[in-house]
Amino acid sequence: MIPKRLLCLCVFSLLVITLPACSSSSSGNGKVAIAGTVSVNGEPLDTGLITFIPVGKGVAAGGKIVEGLYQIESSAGLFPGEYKVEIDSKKPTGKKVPETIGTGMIDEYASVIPENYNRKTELKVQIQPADNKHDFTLVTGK
Amino acid sequence: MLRRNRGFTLIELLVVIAIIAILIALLLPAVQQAREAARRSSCKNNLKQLGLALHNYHEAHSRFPPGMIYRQPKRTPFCLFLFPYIDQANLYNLYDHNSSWPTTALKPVRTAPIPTWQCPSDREAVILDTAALWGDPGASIKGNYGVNWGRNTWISQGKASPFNNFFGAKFRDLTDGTSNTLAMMEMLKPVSTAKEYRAWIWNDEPDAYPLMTRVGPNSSSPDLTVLCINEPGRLPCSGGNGTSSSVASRSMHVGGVHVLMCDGAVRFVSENIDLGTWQDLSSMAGNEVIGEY
Repeated sequence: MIPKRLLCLCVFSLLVITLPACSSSSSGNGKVAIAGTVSVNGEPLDTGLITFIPVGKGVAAGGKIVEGLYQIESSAGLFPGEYKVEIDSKKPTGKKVPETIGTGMIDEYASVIPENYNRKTELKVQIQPADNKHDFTLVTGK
Repeated sequence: MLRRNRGFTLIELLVVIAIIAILIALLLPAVQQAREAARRSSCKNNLKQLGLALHNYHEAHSRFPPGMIYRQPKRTPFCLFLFPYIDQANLYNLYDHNSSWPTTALKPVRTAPIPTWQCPSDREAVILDTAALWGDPGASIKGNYGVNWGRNTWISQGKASPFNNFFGAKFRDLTDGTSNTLAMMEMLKPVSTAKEYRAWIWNDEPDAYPLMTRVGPNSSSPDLTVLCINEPGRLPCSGGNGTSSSVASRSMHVGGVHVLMCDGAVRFVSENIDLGTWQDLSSMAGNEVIGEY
């Protein structure tokens, strides 16, 4: 009866060895979540896009703005550091422009955010290792 | 000694089955990985072919093909210029070079599959001739490789890239060095039912196939596009942009994208590449010193 006991032992040890290998940990890699509000001239920005561009070395991240709120999960988030912030939002102008194949017409859109908040941004934030809530209050000339 | 035990007991059989089950459980994910690795290397090879085509084009015309001919009397996409160099000369000759691409007559040309432009890791996607999309004048294939269009938006590249509207660089324009300048990158196709321009290699729209390094590869940050069917995690976007469109390079490969450098080399770039380095790679005469990446 020794071989059978040996077999059982083999199987048991195999299980013990392989089980920890299957459960690899995929927890935080140092990126942090970030959330907050965006308002333009006191009104929440209903639709838009926010992008964080690293000032030094690093990776960019961004998300959508919905009804004045934005939220970026930690999995898609940022490493702590200094970032430039670009905010974009487009609204239909009411005019129509030709669609790509030239037959139909689609809405023409225009930016409602001046360039000093996106392509030539002056907004900067410092992302902290925890509790990142950053609110942006934009003021347009109009 | 009379009853000699021949054959196996139930316990022994169960043990053997358990061991086999464990081995299969270990092996199966590895098989799937091998399949994806094969697709990835096929995807990389396509990009290499396009690199050779670019060099052959340069050999023949003394410059790279123009990034596009945008909204001018003869609207022409970038991909057409490379057809004679990727074994698609017949298709090139079938195209009516006196006409813009969006015509019903050119539908057979636009819907011909071009395997060199397809990455097997990505989904199949075509633009059907349904009325909900663009009908016969729009029916096309989509593709997985776009051109380097600088670090900012379509209308303003930030620093010049080798491709622009009506412009393809000469090798002598690439003063950063051909090994330090991106030529083409990977992009992902939206679903075939999505009414949007991204990955549309036949279309001269600013968000179709020009790719910008405004954000890194596979970025979570939404693209600035004209039409937008948002696919969070895969193809995020925000619509309403015209010539201010900016689309990032994306792929289905874990960890990054393949890129083609102007010297014909194909590299895998991590999605964690420093944004500054990524942007420096997109300029052709930016005088940047590029570190390791």
